[in-house]
Amino acid sequence: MVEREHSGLTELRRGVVILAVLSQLRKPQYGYSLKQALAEGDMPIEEGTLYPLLRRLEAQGLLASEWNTGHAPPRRYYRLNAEGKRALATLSAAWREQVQVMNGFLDGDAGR
Amino acid sequence: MTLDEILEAYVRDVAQALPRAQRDDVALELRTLLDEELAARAQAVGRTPDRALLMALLTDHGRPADVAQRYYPRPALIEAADTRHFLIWALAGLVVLGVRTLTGAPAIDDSQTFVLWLGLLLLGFALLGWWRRRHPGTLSWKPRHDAYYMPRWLALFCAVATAMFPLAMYAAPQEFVRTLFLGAIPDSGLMLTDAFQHSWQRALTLACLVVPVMTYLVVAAQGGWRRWSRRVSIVSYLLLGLLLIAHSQPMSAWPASGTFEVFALPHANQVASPVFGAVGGMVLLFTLYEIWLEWQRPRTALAKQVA
Repeated sequence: MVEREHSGLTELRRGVVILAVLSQLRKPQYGYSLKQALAEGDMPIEEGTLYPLLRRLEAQGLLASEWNTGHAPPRRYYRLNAEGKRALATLSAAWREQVQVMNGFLDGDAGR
Repeated sequence: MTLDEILEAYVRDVAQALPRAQRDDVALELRTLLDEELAARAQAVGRTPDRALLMALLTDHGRPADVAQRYYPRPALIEAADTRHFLIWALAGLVVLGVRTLTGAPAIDDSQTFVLWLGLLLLGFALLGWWRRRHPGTLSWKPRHDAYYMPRWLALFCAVATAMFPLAMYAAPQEFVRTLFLGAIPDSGLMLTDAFQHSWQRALTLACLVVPVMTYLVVAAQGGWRRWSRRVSIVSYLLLGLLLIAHSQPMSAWPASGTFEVFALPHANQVASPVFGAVGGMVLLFTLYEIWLEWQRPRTALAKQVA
């Protein structure tokens, strides 16, 4: 893939990273397990981006977190809180609308 | 350094760049996550964790300052959108210092003044950015006219005002003061030397003052500037600025040899010298600003239409 296409794909993914992360936090995850889950779902995210993002989403009041010290080493688990669930529902609806809109554009282009 | 020490150093550098309240918590989480990442990478390539693997992991993770910025985004001291204006103002400071030196103003430490100017600019732009973030919507963009816009009344006013002052004042200083103050104040100090009265410098300065009056009249007639009238005006003001600065020193009698003063009385020359320098410097700076406006003016369809 040429550099320009790679950069375009990165930009495209950047917009949906938050939605992907929120979707995976309906059940508790810690940083590394979340990264693995996203990678397995074909949405690889660099750890340097993902871990700070979790903190920012928590600061925005969308996630709750707690340390699990019963495990060695201790892990910090994140999950959606009520506000996060509402945000996920809103963003999911917006995403589906966007997909429809984009399909309309792309099908229109293909028909020309 | 051992692998443990390298990891500790990395996590410490990230944590140190964070607010105190977040440091310990982020450091602990980051450390455990990096440990886990390293173990996973080592397992993937089938060897025990080593320095090369760890350095590759940390390089991928990013520079500690960048990682800290992702954890806790801090605003830029000078916002990216303001960078151009910052550079323009910094350059303007250099130009002012250069013109100041040209006018023979009292000596100052230019490099120290420039550093002070940069510091003030930094503070000003930082405060501007802070204000915009704190009060979004204020200091918003407002439409303003292009440099080629000038209403007819203003052009006429400028023509009349320039004809009276400085043109009339420069052409006949004694008569000007006598008329203005009805002979109430003495005007002998404004008597010109013969050499100056018949000099090419005086003739050229008068021409540089007549040209703007004429261009303002043309602008009044045409209802705005045209490219040619604006450029003629800029050239005449540029010359005028340089000539006024030349007035602040004894003038060259070129092509003949020797120098001559502007005023007949030595004391009058002493008083007028810094005034000529300051006014010439201001005219020069104003003209350089106008040249810059002209140079950076986009050649849009509207601009071309006006020109």
